Amino acid sequence: MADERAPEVFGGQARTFPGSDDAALRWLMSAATLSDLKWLDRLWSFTEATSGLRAPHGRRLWWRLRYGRCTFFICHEPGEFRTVEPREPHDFIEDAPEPTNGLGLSTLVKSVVERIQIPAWDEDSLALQAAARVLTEDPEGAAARGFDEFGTIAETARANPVEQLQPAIESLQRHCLMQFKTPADRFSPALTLVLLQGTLGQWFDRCDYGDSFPLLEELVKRARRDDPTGIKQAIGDYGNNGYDAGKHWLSGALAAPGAVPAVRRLLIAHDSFRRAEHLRQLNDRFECGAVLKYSETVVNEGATCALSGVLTGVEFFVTSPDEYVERVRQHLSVRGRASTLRTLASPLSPTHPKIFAMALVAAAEAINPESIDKHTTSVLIGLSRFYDQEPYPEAILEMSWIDHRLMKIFRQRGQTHEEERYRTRLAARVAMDLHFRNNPPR
Amino acid sequence: MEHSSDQLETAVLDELGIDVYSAYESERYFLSPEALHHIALALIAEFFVGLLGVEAFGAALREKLVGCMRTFRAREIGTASYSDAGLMTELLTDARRASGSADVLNREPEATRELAAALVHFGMDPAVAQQHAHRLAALLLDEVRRPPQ
Repeated sequence: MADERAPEVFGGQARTFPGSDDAALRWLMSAATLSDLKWLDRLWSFTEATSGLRAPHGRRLWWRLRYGRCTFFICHEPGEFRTVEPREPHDFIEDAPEPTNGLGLSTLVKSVVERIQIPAWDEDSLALQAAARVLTEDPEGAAARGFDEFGTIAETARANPVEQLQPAIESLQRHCLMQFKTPADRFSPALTLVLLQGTLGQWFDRCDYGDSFPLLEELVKRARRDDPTGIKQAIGDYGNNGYDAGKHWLSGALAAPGAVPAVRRLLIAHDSFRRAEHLRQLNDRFECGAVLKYSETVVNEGATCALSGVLTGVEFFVTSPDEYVERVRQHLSVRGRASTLRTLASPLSPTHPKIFAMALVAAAEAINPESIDKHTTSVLIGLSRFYDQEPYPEAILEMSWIDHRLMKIFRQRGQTHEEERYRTRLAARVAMDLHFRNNPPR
Repeated sequence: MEHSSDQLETAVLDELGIDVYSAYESERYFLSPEALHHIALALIAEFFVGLLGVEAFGAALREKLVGCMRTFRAREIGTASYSDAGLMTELLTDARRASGSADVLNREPEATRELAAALVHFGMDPAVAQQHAHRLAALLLDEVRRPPQ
């Protein structure tokens, strides 16, 4: 039974927005498999519990969180995450409250899964299966099975010549990361291990890819002794490539037409930055001498930006569209258009694709009937036309979202003819979506 | 058509992306909107001062721009003195006016080199700085040669 209190996709209006269930499922699963789900739940409920709390006057409030052997410091206002204790005179540190039975990320995923329609695409079926795995099984067991599959693909890479390493890497990303079989934070070191083993031609006979760090360290230590030139070259190449790829995919997420391709690109960006980060750490620790063109801070921030884009994007899917647009309007009234657009879609805050952020801002500007001007409407109409040219599955949600918003604006204005036009477009999209759900393309 | 100063600031920051954190060596710090504005203003100033010469700008503005570029290179970003949005508009107005008469194409390589040097001072790897400088130069050069809105 679905929990009545748990949020639904778009506040229960998913049926009006074709594609929203599928996109929500994929986005939430991307968030839920970034790391261990228990830790993500802890982080989520901590954020819920503390976001309204303020620091004593003139001080900056930091929350201390412990996870395993690690300690983190999080500040909400202004938002910042540190691994080192803040020590400025105005810093004020409090232990994070213990989690209550509040809403965690797993509750959101559960709620979406329980209410979702039949997925339209094969990939969605896989996302649904992944969600079931995460929610109903022992998550550690599910991850272990995911890493077994990872190991099988890695074995194929071992059997093939080094020139075929790249297709194996792409296969690992597609089958394990994109299908949510392995937590992202353990996938990246595992992929780094495959890359280094393949390049150096030094494979471990037995490999637990679910816990790759000790093996990575052993491999680099051994290669530093036996093949210093090879390890220097490999770390330099893969580190710098990871950093370039991370930037490329982060920009790609912002340039995506819709949420589905955007979150896919954010996951790859996150993975690329994390690999660059691990290689930098190994390079420093074992003094391999590789020349890396990025600092630890830059790749850490890159990974954090991609990760926070995925996490903050969840909010869009579990909030009613009107409420979400109202939040954008409030931001707009305080910070202005440029700052709002940057908060919604920029490399440091990649919550939405840029094109859709424009639609959100135009919709927010249109909330007040007196302030609706021709410019705002023409922005939305222009975006609607742009989306008409996009391939169907990648941006169906964004298409219907904009049509829905235009229909509402024309209704507010009493322009019945125009309202009817967008109602018809929306109905056609719903029909098309239903058709594809019953006849999935092969 | 010309970008507004806000749009240009966004385009500059988008080009830098996560490399905007290059100023920090180990710890991560929050980059306030004021700090981001300071960074964008300094880079736009670096290029146009290199392209058009510092004399192209009015005396009061010139003093501010020189301070802004100096603090950027010293990685002292986010100071309130450069958070005034009007500075960017003033800078762009003067740059557009001066670019009509200046020999901009001949001076562009030198201005791009100065921009790359400023990014290296800011903490960027020289090769990365070079890439950003070239793309920023193309963006900014295009800006002064666009017809007004």
